[in-house]
Amino acid sequence: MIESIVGLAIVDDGGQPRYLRTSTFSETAHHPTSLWLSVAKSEAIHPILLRDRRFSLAILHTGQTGQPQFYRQHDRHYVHGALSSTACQVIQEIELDTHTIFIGEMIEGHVTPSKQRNLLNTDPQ
Amino acid sequence: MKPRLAAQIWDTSLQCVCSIVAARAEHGVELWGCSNFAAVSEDPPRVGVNPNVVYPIDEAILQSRRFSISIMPASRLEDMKRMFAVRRRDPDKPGAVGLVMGDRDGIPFVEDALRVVFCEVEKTAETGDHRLIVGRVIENRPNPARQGELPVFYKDALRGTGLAKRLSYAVRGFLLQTGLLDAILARLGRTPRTPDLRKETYRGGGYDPPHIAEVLRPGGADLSRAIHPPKAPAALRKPIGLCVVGTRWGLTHAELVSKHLPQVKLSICGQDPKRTARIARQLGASHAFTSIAEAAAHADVQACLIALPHHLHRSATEEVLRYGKHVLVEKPIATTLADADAMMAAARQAGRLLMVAENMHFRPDVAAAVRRISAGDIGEPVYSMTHVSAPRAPESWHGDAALAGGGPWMDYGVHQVRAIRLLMGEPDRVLATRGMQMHVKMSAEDSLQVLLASRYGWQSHIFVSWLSGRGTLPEITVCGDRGQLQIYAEQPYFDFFPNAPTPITELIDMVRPYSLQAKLRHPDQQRIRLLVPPSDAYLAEITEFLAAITEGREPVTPMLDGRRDLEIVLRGYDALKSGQWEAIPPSVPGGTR
Repeated sequence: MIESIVGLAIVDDGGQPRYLRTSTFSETAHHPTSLWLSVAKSEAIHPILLRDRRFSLAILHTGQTGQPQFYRQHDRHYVHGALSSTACQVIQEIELDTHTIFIGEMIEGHVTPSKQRNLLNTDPQ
Repeated sequence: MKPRLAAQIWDTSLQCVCSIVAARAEHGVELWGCSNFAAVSEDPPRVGVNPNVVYPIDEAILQSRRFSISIMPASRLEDMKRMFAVRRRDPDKPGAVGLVMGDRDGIPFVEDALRVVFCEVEKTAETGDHRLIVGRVIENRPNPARQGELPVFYKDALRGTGLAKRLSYAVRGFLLQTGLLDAILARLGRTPRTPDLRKETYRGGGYDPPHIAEVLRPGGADLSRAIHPPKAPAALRKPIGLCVVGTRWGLTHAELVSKHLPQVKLSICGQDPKRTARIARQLGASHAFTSIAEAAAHADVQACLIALPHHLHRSATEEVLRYGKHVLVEKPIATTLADADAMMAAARQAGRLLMVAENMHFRPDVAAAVRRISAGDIGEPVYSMTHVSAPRAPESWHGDAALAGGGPWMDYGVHQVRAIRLLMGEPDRVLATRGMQMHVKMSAEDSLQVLLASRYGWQSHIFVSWLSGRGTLPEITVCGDRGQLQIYAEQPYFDFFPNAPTPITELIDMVRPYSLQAKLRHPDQQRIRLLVPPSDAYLAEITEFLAAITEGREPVTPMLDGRRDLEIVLRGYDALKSGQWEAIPPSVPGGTR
């Protein structure tokens, strides 16, 4: 394990949010504005990502270790109070043996003010 | 959701844990301050990093195929700040940041990190202006001494180190987070900006392929700098005998030695017996000589400082060397490269030091400016302007091109060429031009404008003149994409004008109406005056020369440096004659030694 931030990768599963708590993501590029998300092929969101080619990513803070509170906006699922929220359209996939790296172009993105710091995967959860 | 203007501070929360990515490049160790890395998979262990393709680290990783990620502990916040600020094209980032590097089978890493992840490149993907690099982890090495410590967070590292920057961020953060900025804008009838992470934070920072090609055209790393100022002034710890040859400019040197270097047994050598004896008496010198041979032959003299007209440098140097004594010769080393080469050959044959007295190499303001440039304060140094002038109409050898080798370009130019070599790097072409000659009784030029250029993308303009004084203009101005440095001759400071607004500028920017803002605004509000320790560069160069002799080492600026200065000056004269850009031969590989 290496010190990384924690977020929720969220897809739409029949109108309901389905999410993966993960640290396997980061920025990809500034042009096009994109981030990458690595998902194990065994994860439930993997086939949905392959099918819908879109996801949201919510970056959590240290006060968000419990059950996430979702809300819907512009046909996307977001998390209340997240440090930042982005909506991405998959523009490229990189196949690894056990995982797929989805590169998502950022369609929408906001940051919110908070005195809390990012939740780390090394924090007690 | 109450959004924040992310674009103002580039704090996206996506960038969080700070690390230093390191890889071995052809020119040495390349580093990148990285806060966007993450695990790709845990089994097998893989990580992803995404360097900007214009960063030299990208090429280094692609070439070496191996890299490390050193996750930095919170206690090393200042190192991380320096890392984020360091000049992108600086070829010695470990030195500029002051990091102690380790090596694991050819993979460089930062010592005493929270954790180091060593990787081999498994896959790469072009993703626009960045490249996604997936690395297979070959070792994940936590640091037991740092166990339990948090990493450096990006938002903390982003805050500046200086008081002005810290205050600026504090004011900005307060205005943004309290909504005061929105309220002020609303009161002014302006619509508050709608913050959007994608549009405001990233779009402005992104490059498309034509931009990338343009940025990379002069090279990812600037390898043009071959010489460096001394890291610390030398100290003379052993007694030594020095004879100053020449009682005009040489008198300045002799006075410095007499006043500040009691370890030196001083002698004076001059043509005029009365003047020489008087100076020797006034300065408490041991001997007064009237011939170089007599001085060089004396047992109390181990070295000579030659301060004679330029055309005499060679003969005087060779004579001293014939007696097996060391030589510090005033600049320029000679008036021709043939003379310079003969002098260097004589020094090598005698096994004695020959050093050119170039005070520019020892000026504390120049050294501090070089450090500021490496630290990234002004971004990429792309242009410099030098202005050296004084009302002067030399009628002696100074104005005779045959004796002096030229006019102010030879006299001042060698100094300024050395300054450019220290501040910017080695130029590889030169253009020279001048207006009408006003001092018609001089055979040398009375003024010259010179442009030096490097294939690494920078240009330097030098104006030298004996027509009129410089007034209050800076001697040297170095312009980068983040700010400007202004260096003044013989001042215990230099000025830094950052592009980023200082707190006072930010406040004045908010003042309305504009007419009042214009009245309140003054260029000094952007000026940060940087003091330099008091140090006499002439004394420092003499001390370095004498210390090198007594310690049996090469001086920090060996004789080839002086030859190189002359070579560039002479190519300037060639360019003046041809009216075209002239190529400057490359400096000796690996420096000038």
